[in-house]
Amino acid sequence: MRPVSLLVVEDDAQALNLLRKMIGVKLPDLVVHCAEDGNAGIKLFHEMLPEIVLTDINMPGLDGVRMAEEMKALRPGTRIIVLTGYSDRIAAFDAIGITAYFTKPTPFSQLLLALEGCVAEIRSQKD
Amino acid sequence: MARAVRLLIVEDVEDHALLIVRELQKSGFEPDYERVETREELVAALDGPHWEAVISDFSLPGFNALDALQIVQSKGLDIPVIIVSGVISEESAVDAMRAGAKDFILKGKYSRLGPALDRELRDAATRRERRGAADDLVRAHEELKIQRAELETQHRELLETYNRLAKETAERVRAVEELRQKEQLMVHQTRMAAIGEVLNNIAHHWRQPLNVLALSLQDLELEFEAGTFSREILDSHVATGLEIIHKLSRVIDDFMEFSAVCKEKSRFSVEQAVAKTVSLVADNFARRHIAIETRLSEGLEIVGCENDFRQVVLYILMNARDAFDERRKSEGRIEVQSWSEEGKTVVTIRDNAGGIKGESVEKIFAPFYTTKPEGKGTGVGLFIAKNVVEKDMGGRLTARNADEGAEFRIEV
Repeated sequence: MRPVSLLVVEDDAQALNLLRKMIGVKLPDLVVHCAEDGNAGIKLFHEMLPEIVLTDINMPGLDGVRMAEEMKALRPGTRIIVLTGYSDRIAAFDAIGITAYFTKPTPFSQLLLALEGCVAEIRSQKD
Repeated sequence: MARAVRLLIVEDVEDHALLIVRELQKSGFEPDYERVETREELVAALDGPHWEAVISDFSLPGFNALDALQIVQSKGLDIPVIIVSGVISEESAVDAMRAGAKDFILKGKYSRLGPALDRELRDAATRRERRGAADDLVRAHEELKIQRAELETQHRELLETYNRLAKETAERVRAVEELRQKEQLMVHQTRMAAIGEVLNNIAHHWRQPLNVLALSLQDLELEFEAGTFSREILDSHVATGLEIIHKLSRVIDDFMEFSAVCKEKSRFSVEQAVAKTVSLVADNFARRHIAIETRLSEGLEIVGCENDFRQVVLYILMNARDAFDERRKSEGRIEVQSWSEEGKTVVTIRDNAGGIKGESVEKIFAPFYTTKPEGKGTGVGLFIAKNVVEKDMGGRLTARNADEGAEFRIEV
C-alpha cells in the first residue's frame, strides 16, 4: 500500500521544522514533504501529488489561497488544511473547498485530529 | 444828524400836520410823511410801502383814532400809533390806550412828541428783534427736531449694522473654531492611523513568533508522551522560547521608541532612522507585494527629532502603499535613497505606483486634500509631514512625478 503523503507549506522555517517533527512523531507512516513558499509548494505538488496539503495562507510571493485553488484544480480530490493568522477570508476558504482551517497559534492536537481523519478517509478509499 | 422816519399822519388839518412835523424835526427826526384824512386813504396808505409809526388826531370828520387803531391792527401791522388831541375826557384817553394806542399827546404839549416817538420806535424795534428771535428759536427748534429724527434714523441703522456685524463676526469665529476642531480631529485621526499602522505591524511581528512558541511548548508535551523527553530537548526548547520572548519584547520596545513624543532635538543617523522605519513596515508591505529597496549613504546625520523624521518617512511610505492599493498594482517597488548634496542631506522616496495626477502635484500637501475615496485616508499625513520638515527641521519637502511613479524629496 502506497503510503499517504503530506505536503507542508509554511514560510516560517522554525514553525515548519516543528510541524515536520511533531507530525513525524505522531504520524510516523506519513511521508512529509516541505516547502517554504507558494511557488515551491506548487512545484513540489506537481512532482509528488500529495493527498494532503497543510498550508499557511499569508505568505509572500504566491498567495496561499491562489496556490490552494491551483492544487484543487489540478487534483480535485486533494485534501487541504489551512493555517491562518487572520480569521477573515473564511468565505474564500469555503469557496475553494478546504477540509479544515486553524488560526494561529496552531492548536496541534486539533490539527492532528484533522490529519488523522484525512488519513483514515484516504485509506478507506484505497481499500 | 437827522434821523429819518417813515410817518403816517392821520389829520384833516394840514397845518396841524405841519406842526407835528416841525416838532419832530426839533427832536432830531426827519419825517418822510404822508397825511391821510379818511379811512380809505389810511387803508390805501397802509397797503403801500413800509411805515414806522402813525400819529393820529383823536377825532376827524367821520373817522377817529380808535378806527385808525383798529385798521392798523386788523392789518396785523406792529406800527406804534400815537394819538394827538385837544382836550378830551380821561375816559376817552383810557379807551384809546386800552385799544392799543402807545401814547396820548395833548396839543400844546408837543414837546413830548419827539421823545414819545423815539421811545416807541425803539420799543417797536425791540419787539421786532424779539419776534425775530422768537422766529429764529422756532426755526432752530424745527431744525433740531429734523436733525434729531435723522440722528435717530442713523442710530437705528448703525445699531442694525452693528448687530449684523456682531452676528457675522460670531459666525466667523464659529467657523474658524469649527475649522480648528476639524483640523485637530484630522491630525488626531492621522496620528491614530499611523499608530494603527504600526500596531498592525506589531501584531504581524508577534503572530509568527507566538505560533512557534505554541508549537514548541506542544512539542515538549509530545516528547514527554513519546518517552523521548530529555534534558537536552528541554534546554533547547527553553532556549527557543526565551529567544522568542525576547524578540516579542524588542518589538514592543521598538514601537514605544517610535511613538515617543520628541522633547528635545538630537543628532541622529539618517541611515538608521530610515532603516528602522522601513523595517517596521517591510513585512507588511511584502505581504502586499510591495518591495522596499534602500540605498543610503553612510554617515549622514541630521539634527532634529528622530521620531518626527521617521514619522515623515512613514507617512510617505503609507501614501505610496495607498497608491498601490488604489491602482491595484501588483509587484510594487519603492526605492529609498539618501545622499549629501551641497551640504544638505537629501532623502528621496520613489515608487512605481503610476504617479500623482496632473493638478494634484501642488495640492497633495494641502490639509484635508485627498484623492482617496470617502472614508479612506484623512489627507493630513502629507500636510503634517511637510510641516514637520519645514517648520521643525527647517528643510523642504517636495513631490514630483518621475518615471513610473511619484518621487518625494526631503532636503534638510
